[in-house]
Amino acid sequence: MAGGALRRLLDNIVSFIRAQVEGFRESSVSAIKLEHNELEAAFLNMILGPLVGVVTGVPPIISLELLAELGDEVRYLESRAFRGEDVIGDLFSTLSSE
Amino acid sequence: MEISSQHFQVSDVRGRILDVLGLGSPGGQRILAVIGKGGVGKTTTSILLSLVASTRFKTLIMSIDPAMHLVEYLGLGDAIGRFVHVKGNLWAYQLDLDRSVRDLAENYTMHVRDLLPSLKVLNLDDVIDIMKSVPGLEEEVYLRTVREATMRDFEVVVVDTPPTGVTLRVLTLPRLYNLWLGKLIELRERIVALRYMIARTLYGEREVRDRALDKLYKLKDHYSTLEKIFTSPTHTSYILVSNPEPLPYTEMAKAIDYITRNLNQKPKLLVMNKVSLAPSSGDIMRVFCSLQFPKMVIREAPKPPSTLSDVESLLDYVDLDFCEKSLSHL
Repeated sequence: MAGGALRRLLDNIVSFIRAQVEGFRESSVSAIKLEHNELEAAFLNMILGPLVGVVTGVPPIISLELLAELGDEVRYLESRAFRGEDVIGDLFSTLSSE
Repeated sequence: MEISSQHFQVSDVRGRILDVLGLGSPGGQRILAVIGKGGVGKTTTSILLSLVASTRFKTLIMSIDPAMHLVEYLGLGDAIGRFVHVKGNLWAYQLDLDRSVRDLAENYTMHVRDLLPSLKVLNLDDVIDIMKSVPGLEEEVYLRTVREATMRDFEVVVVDTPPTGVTLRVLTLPRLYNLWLGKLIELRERIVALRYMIARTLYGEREVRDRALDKLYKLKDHYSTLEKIFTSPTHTSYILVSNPEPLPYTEMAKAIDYITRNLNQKPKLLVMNKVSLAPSSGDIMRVFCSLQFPKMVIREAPKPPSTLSDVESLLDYVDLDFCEKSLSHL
């Protein structure tokens, strides 16, 4: 009887710890994802900018050489533009843990 | 067999030119970049030096000058854009700049064609038109052409370059590109590291491939090789050409300064072409003779050279001791 209660308690503790770990993991991954997305957007702006007259300093030839290798990233930027994501809002929400 | 004194003199001049250029003994591939203002005789000098080099080495004379004077001298006709055998150890190549720029732009366009719908959404569909006139395209063609020549089995490559300003910019572009590639690689590596962390945490993946990063490494390797070639005195020698006139000479002086500061190189040879003994050129010749670099003077021939044999006969007008002999008379 007492053993069963102890067993349930231990199971609950294990579940609690698992849930905590999963929570930490999700929160750290979403923070990493945010940093990744912002760096990716910055990188794409640096590469695409010189091709439309935005001076980023990157030589246009390097932009042209890289463009063909950035298919997935350009399509991601396109979907982001479609969705009209509020990047700055996302960032501030994350920083204030909302 | 009787050897004339003139023949003896010419072969002596050839030997001395080879020595001055550091071609007295076999070594790795050497590039001689002939630089000067438009119209000073860069092509003539390039042909002359190639003819001399080809007496001992498998030599390529390559003209990347859009003026395409090499075509006239060698009668290349429709052989532009191809490696052509001239005679003996001498080969020639004339770049067709317009066609090469067009081909390169089309190549870039073809690679991004399937990205066009996405580029349209991002208001970047003009990219395709921009590619044809993007700054740096001509310079990229020059760099690729020189790189291609260095990958062939020529022992000496003499490069007849475009006018000074363009040439000097092209020579320092690999360093500029490398600086930017270093920064971009740093940023891209961070992006890939984050992507790896996400993939590893969520899906347990062990490897993340990134085509853009691979391309950046390849570009860095390419431009680093070019930078090494242009800044290595054992690989590339700079020959500066002028006429005894104020503007060409000023350009030569600026080029000496630029090469010394930006490429850490000293000119291998200064060539003063079409030198007459007119009193008006005395001041420039005096300043020229005071420069502390090896010098070669080509006296003005009665008939301006227009063929290969005309240029060959200019060896009779070459003087490597002009300054030592004439300085007191200037």
